[in-house]
Amino acid sequence: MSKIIGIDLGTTNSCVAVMDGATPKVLENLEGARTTPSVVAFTDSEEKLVGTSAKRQGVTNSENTFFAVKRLIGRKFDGDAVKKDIQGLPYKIIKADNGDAWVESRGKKYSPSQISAFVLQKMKETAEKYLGSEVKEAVITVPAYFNDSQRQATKDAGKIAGLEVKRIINEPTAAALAYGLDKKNAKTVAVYDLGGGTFDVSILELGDGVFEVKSTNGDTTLGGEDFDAHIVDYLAMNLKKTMPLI
Amino acid sequence: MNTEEKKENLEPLQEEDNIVETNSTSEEESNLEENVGETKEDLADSQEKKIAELNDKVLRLLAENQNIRKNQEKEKEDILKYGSFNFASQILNLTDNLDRAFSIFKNNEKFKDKEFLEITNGIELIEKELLNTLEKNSITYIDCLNKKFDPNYHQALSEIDSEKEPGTVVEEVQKGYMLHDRLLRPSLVNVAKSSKKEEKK
Repeated sequence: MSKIIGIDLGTTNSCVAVMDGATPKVLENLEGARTTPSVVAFTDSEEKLVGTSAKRQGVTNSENTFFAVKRLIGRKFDGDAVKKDIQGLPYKIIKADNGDAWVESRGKKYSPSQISAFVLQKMKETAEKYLGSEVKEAVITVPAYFNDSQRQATKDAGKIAGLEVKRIINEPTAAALAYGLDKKNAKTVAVYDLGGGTFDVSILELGDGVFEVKSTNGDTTLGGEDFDAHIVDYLAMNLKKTMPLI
Repeated sequence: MNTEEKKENLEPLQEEDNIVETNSTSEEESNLEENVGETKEDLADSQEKKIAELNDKVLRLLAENQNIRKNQEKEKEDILKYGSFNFASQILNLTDNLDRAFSIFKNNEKFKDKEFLEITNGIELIEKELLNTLEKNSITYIDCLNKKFDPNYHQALSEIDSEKEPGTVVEEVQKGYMLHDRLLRPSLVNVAKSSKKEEKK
């Protein structure tokens, strides 16, 4: 009997878990890590890399290393969001025939759903290795502010990866459920999600056992990576001061 | 005796007079019988169904039980094998710094005099012993210099101009190690600029 898996398809990192009896269990990938970078790369030798290995060669292959594709999924090329993102992303973003934002690498075109599917596939394999059997169904989380198009594109990514997506759930709702807030008489809940690349705040209201998203806000370009960058800059600045010869 | 006679008399009467009735009674009876028969069959059916369901459930639970046990065994194995992962990572920070200190010492002209020979020899012994201890604990050094850049074992910090073949590791900034067959930490390297970029120039 195949088990259903839960996948957090994040902007920077992804995570997969299964229910081990009544407790959720986060699964380690083949490299022994509990999260997998949401990065896909195509090398010189036409090899496809997904996860940490893709991230490690990003510097030498920036045009063909796709990260933060979640910023493009389900969006139109001509939209404001994509126009803003194009400036910060080193890979080629193109307009597909239907107006969607797609990416291009070594002459081949990919939809953000296809790129995300490669990541989902890796999460699927991680689960299959642990369970010892094929995994066919999944639940995937998305930001509360995702519109229909973005949700459908995420569902498509699951399908391409060979998964039947039973539900698309809002990330803050999943968090509230994970903490059992639906059973703790919670009324109004604020969820702060500071991730690798985005900072999302959601206000949820619990009514009749169901969480409703009342409002969302945050900073879509603030995350752990920015903290890293600032720390590096600070260290470099101080190093230059104490060792001016560098 | 009388009753018996009466009975005998009665029965044929009944049969004659109540042919229709008897028939309908037997219909009713056979209907009833059918109904009772159906109910009996239904009951047997539903019981069989339930037994089959319960059997199925038992089999599933047994299979799940086996899976859980298998997973636990694997997890135990992994913990024994990779349990030292965090400690090993931290020790490597120390070996890095010892390496740096030793190389400064060994390369400094001041310490090439005979009086420092003992210390220099001692240091070389320690270095060897360090590498041995790491290997005994299944921590092996990744030899990367001049090899083809492999993102499964190396992390590229930057690309630099070099006469070497594009995509070759030309500088090792920090040593990489394996713990058994798992990457403990990647070699931090600088890679010779790739051909495409050479052409662009």
